[in-house]
Amino acid sequence: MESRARHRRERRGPGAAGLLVAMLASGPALGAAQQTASADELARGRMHYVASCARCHGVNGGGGEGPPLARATLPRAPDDETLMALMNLGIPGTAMTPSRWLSDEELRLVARYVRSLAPATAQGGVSTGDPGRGRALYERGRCASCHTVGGFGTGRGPDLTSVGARRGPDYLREAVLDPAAALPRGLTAMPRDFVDYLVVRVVDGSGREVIGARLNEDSYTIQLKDVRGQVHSFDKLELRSLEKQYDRSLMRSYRDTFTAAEVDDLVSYLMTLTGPDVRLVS
Amino acid sequence: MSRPSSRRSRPAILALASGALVLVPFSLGAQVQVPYERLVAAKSEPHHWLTYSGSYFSERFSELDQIHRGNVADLRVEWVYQTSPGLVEATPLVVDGVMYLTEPPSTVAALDARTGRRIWRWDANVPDSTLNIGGPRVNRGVALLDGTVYVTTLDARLVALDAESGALRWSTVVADNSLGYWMSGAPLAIDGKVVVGISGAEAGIRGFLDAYDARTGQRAWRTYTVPAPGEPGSDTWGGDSWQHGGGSTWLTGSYDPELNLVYWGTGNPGPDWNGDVRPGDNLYTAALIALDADTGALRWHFQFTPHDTHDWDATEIPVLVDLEWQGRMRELVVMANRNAFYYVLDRRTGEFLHGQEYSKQTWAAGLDASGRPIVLPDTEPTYEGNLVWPSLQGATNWFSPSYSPVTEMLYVPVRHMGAVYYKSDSEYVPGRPYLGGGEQALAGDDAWGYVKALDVRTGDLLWEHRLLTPPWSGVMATAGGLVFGSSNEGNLFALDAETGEPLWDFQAGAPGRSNPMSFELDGRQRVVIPAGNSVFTLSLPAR
Repeated sequence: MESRARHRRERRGPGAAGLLVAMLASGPALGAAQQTASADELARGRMHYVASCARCHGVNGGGGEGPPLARATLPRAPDDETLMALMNLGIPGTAMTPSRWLSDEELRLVARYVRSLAPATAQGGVSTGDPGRGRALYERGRCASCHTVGGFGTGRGPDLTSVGARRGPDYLREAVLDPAAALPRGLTAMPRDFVDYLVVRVVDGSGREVIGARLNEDSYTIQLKDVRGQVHSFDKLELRSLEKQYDRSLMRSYRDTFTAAEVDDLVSYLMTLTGPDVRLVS
Repeated sequence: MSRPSSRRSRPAILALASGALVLVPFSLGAQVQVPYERLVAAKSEPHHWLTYSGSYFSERFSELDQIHRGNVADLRVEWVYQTSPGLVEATPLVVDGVMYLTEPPSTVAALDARTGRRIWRWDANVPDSTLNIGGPRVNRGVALLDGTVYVTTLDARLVALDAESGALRWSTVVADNSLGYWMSGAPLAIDGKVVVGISGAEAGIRGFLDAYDARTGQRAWRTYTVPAPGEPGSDTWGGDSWQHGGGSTWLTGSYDPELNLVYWGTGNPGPDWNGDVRPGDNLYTAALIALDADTGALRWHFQFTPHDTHDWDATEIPVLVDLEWQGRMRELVVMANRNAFYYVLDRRTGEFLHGQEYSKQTWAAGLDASGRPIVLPDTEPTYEGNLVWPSLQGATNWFSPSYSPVTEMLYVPVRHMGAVYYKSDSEYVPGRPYLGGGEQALAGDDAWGYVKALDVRTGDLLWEHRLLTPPWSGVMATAGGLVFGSSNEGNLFALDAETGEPLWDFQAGAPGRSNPMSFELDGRQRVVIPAGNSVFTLSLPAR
């Protein structure tokens, strides 16, 4: 329970009001909307957002009945135009209702506000290292034995092809030094808002112990992947024990492997990974 | 139960299974006949499912026991019906071999209950521009009376269809959708009338409950859930706040034919989270109201959450039970409320008999002797945010509980979830959201769900079955000693009604978001549980 509380604090961060104050106070220093949205526009956008969107998406965009919007990229809305159209028309077949009461100008303000909700993990910090050296460290550290970039590597952990667009340097530094403190969300098949790659230890009916990262779970079954990539599926009712280890990660810390300068180099390299680099094979 | 035949057009004689002869309309050559008397005696034909909650008392209990603890593990899919896209929150009805269900947003389908093959379908063709502020574009089912199917539409109409063909008999505009009135609930058909509620408190409507003449569609009565100045209860509203005071009636109520009272839950006051503009208790929001079925006159009310500021609608299903209570038989109405308290009331008078917490809550120290909550300080939404349990979706929500007269337990799907509540300023503009704040719910590993079995007299917890996430689906108990339900993760399940032990589950591949029901056809019991856009009909293998 304590580890749950820790995750909760991390996720909520400074809270919606605190976040808003920080954004308004620091004006154009934060967020994807920084080049275009003034503090006044953000405040007006927030007012309409709270009235029309927050009931499902959460006051600070953290999600609720609807998916979280406080993220670096919105899967259904890569740009403001698409986001505005989506708000205007709704998403057929889902609980997303058309917001037909909002004018075009109000839709634009809400879109900019939603963009400004991109989490600190996508924004915080600076990387001052050398990306070229970082790439060599990525290879030396055998990162590709668990991660993929541009289709190369092993998909045991998260794909890093666009990690530089989704995360910020501070988050990535923490992920390298203290992986359990930076477990991602929304990358696996788990329901949204659950931490991904949660380490789970089970003992089955025959006494066999399996430790793996959670791939998925429902009320009666759980799916794990062990460090060798083997998938295990269990009926919970048949297990002797099931223990969720919120303070662990299957990824080891590189604190004792790399110097601080080397970690900076690695983070700088990861920040260059900003999108798919699909190789066409003819 | 006899009525003057002059109220009927084209009366004809139909022999019921009981041997009684009654007058019914539309029966010349008609195959589908559900006169009021059959609805009153719904328990005597458990092979059918005649109303949204299975009976006027809303137990959502099936007397069928062919599927039981000993064989439920063999349950398997008999057929699947695929609905139109959208969220399915409907409970199907089944009578005389035909299943009537609704598909999103406002479509009615009649199916062969043996195979799932469609017989007819009717689409209300609601415009894309229809407003549904405060909830998704869903419909929860139809009502049957005589040879007619009744359904509400998203754009706030009540529609009557010929049960045989789906042909439109009449369509009545209940309220103006452009002002934010909309409808999703299954109607309640009583003697010659169809009772319907309304949605729209999140758009600042003034709520009401309506009854319509079942034959003509003319409105028989309207009772507002928010009194106008000078009417009883109007002193619980400051200024002109009553005009946009909310009090939606968006689920389906219950009915006691002997007392001739309709019981209906009312929703939150408007605006939801900023109560500053509406000082007072805000009657009759977040309350249970008992209305005379003939006139709509308010007989009594009980307000669960005075001056609600957390969107804790009291629209949950009121379950009517007749039980020995402290030494004598009493007619009771019980409700597991969204505000996390369980209530037992006398349904003749509305007298509060008992209440207690059934799920985690942090807003009240308890209930006083009259059932009024003893509200804790600093539990209102604030501009900075305030963590309170339960979340705005409540400890339970629209999905149905179930009462088993065998175990005398009320089974409740429970959302174990808190939220940080925020207040904001809100101005009423017609047809726009009127909320005054919002929430940020705790989610992921910090929230989960249960099916809880409560002692119906006390609300004491007798067992609980944990679910991975807070559920959006109801439960149904059966005489086979089972409780059926479903989860957000696609688990359809059956629990032992006595102990909560899981006895069967099936991964349906899409979220369960409906209420289970059961019927029997060709001598075999079926259990129906929708998941995603698939309506699963389950049965035991043929012997």
